Amino acid sequence: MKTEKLKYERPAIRKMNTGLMNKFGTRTEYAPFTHIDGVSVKELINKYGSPCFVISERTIRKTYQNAVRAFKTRYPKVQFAWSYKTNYIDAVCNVFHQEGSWAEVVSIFEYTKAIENGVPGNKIIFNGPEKTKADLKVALENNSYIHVDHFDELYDLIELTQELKKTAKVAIRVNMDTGVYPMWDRFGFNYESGQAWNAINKIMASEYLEMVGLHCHIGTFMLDPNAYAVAASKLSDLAVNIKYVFNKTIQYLDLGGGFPSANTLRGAYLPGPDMIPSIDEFAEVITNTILNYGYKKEDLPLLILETGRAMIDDAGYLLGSVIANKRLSDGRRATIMDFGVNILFTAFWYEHKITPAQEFSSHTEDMVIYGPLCMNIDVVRSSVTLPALNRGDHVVVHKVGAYNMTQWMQFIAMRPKVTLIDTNGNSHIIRENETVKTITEPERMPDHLKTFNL
Amino acid sequence: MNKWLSIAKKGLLYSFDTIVNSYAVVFFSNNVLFGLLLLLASFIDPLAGICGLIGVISANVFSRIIGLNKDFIRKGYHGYDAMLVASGIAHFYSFNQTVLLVIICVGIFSTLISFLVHGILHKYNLPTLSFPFLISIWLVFSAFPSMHTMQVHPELIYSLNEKQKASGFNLAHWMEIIDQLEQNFLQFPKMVNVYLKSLSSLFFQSNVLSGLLIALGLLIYSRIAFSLSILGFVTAYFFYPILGGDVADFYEKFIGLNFIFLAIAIGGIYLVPCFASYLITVVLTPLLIIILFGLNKILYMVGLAPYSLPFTLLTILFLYVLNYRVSFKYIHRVYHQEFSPEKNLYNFLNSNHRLRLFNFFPIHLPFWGEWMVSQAHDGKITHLGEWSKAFDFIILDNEMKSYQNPGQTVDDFYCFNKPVVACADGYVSAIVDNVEDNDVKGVNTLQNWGNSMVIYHADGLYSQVSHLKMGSLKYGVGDFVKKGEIIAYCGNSGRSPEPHIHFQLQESPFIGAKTLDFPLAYYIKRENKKFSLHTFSKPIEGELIQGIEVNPLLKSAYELIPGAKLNWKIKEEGKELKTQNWEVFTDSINASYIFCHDTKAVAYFYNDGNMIVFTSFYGSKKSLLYHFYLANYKLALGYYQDLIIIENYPIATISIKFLNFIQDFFAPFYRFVSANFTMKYVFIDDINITSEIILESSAEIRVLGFKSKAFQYSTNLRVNKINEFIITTSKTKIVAICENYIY
Repeated sequence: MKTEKLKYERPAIRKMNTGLMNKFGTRTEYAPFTHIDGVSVKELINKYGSPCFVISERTIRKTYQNAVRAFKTRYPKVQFAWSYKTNYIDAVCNVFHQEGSWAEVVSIFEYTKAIENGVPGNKIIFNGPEKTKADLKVALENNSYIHVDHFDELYDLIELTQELKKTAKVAIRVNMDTGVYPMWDRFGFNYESGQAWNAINKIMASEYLEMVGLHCHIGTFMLDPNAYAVAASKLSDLAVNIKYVFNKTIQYLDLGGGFPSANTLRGAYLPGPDMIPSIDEFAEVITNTILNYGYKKEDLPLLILETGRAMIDDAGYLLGSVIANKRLSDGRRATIMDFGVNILFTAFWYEHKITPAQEFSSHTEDMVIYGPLCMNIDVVRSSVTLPALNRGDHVVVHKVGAYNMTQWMQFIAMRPKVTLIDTNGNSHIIRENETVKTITEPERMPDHLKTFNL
Repeated sequence: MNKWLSIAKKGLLYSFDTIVNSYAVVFFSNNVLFGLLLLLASFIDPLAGICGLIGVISANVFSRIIGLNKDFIRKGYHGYDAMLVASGIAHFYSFNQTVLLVIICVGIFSTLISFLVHGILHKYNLPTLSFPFLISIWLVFSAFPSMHTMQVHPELIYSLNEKQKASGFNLAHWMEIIDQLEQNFLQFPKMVNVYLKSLSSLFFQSNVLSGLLIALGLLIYSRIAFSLSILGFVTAYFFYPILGGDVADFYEKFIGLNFIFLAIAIGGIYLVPCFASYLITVVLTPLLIIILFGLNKILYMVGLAPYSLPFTLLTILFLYVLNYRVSFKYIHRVYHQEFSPEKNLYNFLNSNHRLRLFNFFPIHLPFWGEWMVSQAHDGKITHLGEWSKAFDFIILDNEMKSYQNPGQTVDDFYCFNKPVVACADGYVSAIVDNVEDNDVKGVNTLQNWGNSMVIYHADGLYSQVSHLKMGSLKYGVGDFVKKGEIIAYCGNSGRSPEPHIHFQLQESPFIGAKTLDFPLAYYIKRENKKFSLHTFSKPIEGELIQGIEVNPLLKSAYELIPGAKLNWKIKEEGKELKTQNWEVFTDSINASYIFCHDTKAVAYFYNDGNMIVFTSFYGSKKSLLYHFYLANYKLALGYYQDLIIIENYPIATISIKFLNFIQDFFAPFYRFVSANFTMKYVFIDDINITSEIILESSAEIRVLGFKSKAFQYSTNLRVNKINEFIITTSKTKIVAICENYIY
């Protein structure tokens, strides 16, 4: 039997700190996290460098199928659309498209990405407040669903369709009071004020616009499923009225996204997994509301969901290594990692779970985790109980799949590789790390600045 | 003027049909040519022929006057007994006014008596057969001795000739010609001779020529009936001497036809022709001979002959007993009589596979989405004894697990609290809604069924769903529920260790009644990513199944409601542009059909909102409608990528006439010509919001497994209608565009 040498742990003097009552105690609840889908973290870091993002294809598919099942067993017609802004790395998008997801995009950049991924035009939902006339034209020609955000866009679209004599498939985004504040009333047309109905009237009166759906997106990281019941019933009210007044059957209700992932929000008392409602609870209220709203059976609209975060967050991991340890002036321990808020943007609002990737002793200590940036804001966790880590030790940050690989910044350091572990346990690079060339290539040097003497 | 002409034409045609069918129906046929040949054969003895004809006319006229069903008269149901009795009278008695009067009276009498017999036997699902004829002929023959104006021929046919000579009509000469003909040209081996003479005994004759005409008619009418007639005859010919009879009785005593009729009736008309029906014919024949001997003896005492009584008795006896069988494995009764063994056989084959929807009340799955059959009929765990014909359903994830998390609470189970829907329209007849849901692995054996709902669908057909969630039932006793409507939610009540739906069909309205072995109307089975359609069958344990999710485009494109018009522009290379206009109608029994105004072709179809099935086609095989019928033979109105539907066409509608003729002889045992239909779901732009679908189908004829003829079809659906229909054969390509689609 191979016996491993006991790990050396340097002695430390700790301040006695009773702190607040804490039923979880001071011990870390984590076990070392050495493997992702059976692939060793150490091996991954050796192969792809540190830091590096890892995405589990298996987790994506499982989460997606679970969500689909939650809805499809409750409601006959359900379609998911992959929210590109959550993670638009092509390989990730394609996993969703393989599973049957449409694309939901909010800019011509994302739109083009979806088209280049091979998503048929009629399976792209074009959302967002910024759609230029040129953008609209592209969407129109591809027969995509255009979700109108404001009247100015609507007028542009009416003008454009008349010019081209081509019918656009449109929906309006509706904002409403669902009892969750602050209200997201900056997007779309307001329901309570009658603005939405006004927009619907304008669409129904236009020759080349076909009203196909109604869309809302009531917020993000929603913790109350009942808000969706309110949203579904308000959208249904519009749909039923459209049927009544115009004898037009609305083909779909798009309830948007906003379902939370199991991350812990900053300042939350309980950890995320104990607090968030399951996808089943959301499915339950949404489908119940629509089914009991009083649609004729043949008029039951397709239910579209654009949930992003809840689909991908769990599948993303960030692997990193310890750069240094130090003591702060107040005696607290600080650990400096090779990843910071530049690539882990969500550290601003989540208390990410961080686990050492190798065996550790039972002694833990409250510490601050800093990133490598030479900026004061670069704090990954302001307070976390972890065992003492040595320089070069590896850690795994969990649930980082959403919004990091789209909101990350090339600031001070360059962005690392993104890898994917497929369902057979093979790893692939799905995005190369940046090099100096990546950054400097688009830069242009005026002639007079080309040379200098120091 | 024209109006009168057309009325006269119609009347004439009607009269013609009533007469010809009265002859054909004797052999269970409605074939005009056969009827004409029989008529001709009856005129071999011209006087008997005339008498028969008078009998038919008198019966039909009487039936018409008292207002009986016009169509039944046309089909010859009322004429044939009179015809046979009249022929009999003409055979035994010399023709005079009294005979004429008697024949007319007998026509009326046989009509009356046939109604009585029909009234009695029909209740037991039995045919009338020869009873009216037998009662009539026995009655008149018993009456004749007291009617001194009736004169029996001392030497039958020859004396009749002499009488005719005296009355100026030279019949003797005619009979001589027939005799000459027989002696010179119609010399057959003895067995054939007896066969033909037996056939001719239908008209109380015993001559080869009319037997030949009848045999020819029989062959034209049906190859199976023809071969059965030979089978019956040969068997009898073999057994009759063994049992101590003389085969000359076959034509001398007019009893030979009994064997032929029995063979046709049992072998191919009332039973679907197959090996078993042929075997039964052979087995019953010696029995028939004994019955015949017995009846002969009994009736002799009252001075009557049995004629066709033995066959009638035995057939009815046999069919009566069949009504009480419980296993339906080898012998199949014909339920929809087509009056042709071939049609009965092909229809049976067709309906057995394809048109089962006409046999069963459509029961659908009681849930939405895909579920797994965790226990099927005769399941080993709880589906035992009288409750064995039930299904249990659960939901699985891709790893074939039925729960998430640790699976320690019912909420972890995927199927818990999922909608349970009505499997068909009906009234709620019983509910239980107050049994608490068990914890996982808890079992409530005291309230075995847990929360349940029983729905009445039809007399003797109830469905029950059980183990529902407490308090989730949406309807109470007496409420009407519609198919597909949510009635409750899946729970874990009663004898249920983990959440599932128990679903069973039963004959009575009580919770926990004995189960009924009944198929499910339609479901889609998935194996990995492959879908298959199952109609009127029963899923087995472990299968992943779902109901047909109707696609709105498929539904609206095939919504061929009465009054809908489809105008087609047909382009074929090197030919002029043609147009054909179709219209949808319904007939008196509410069967829908497409009628082509230009080619007069008709295609019947059936659409129940889940499937469209074309049932039959009549008309030109060059019409577009014919190809449309072939191309859309069977179609599920839900879209499943790469779903393939395979069917067989009834061979007669597609194959080559000559081949069919040959095949008919062997059809009950082996069919070497097959016509195959294949439908593929090729393309859809989007499953949820669909604006385009392409279906590809093919019709193939195979002879001994080799492809001999094939059509490829492509049907393009767009904007709620059938947009384009392309026919490709080895020689040409025809593109038909639906210009107009008007409701």
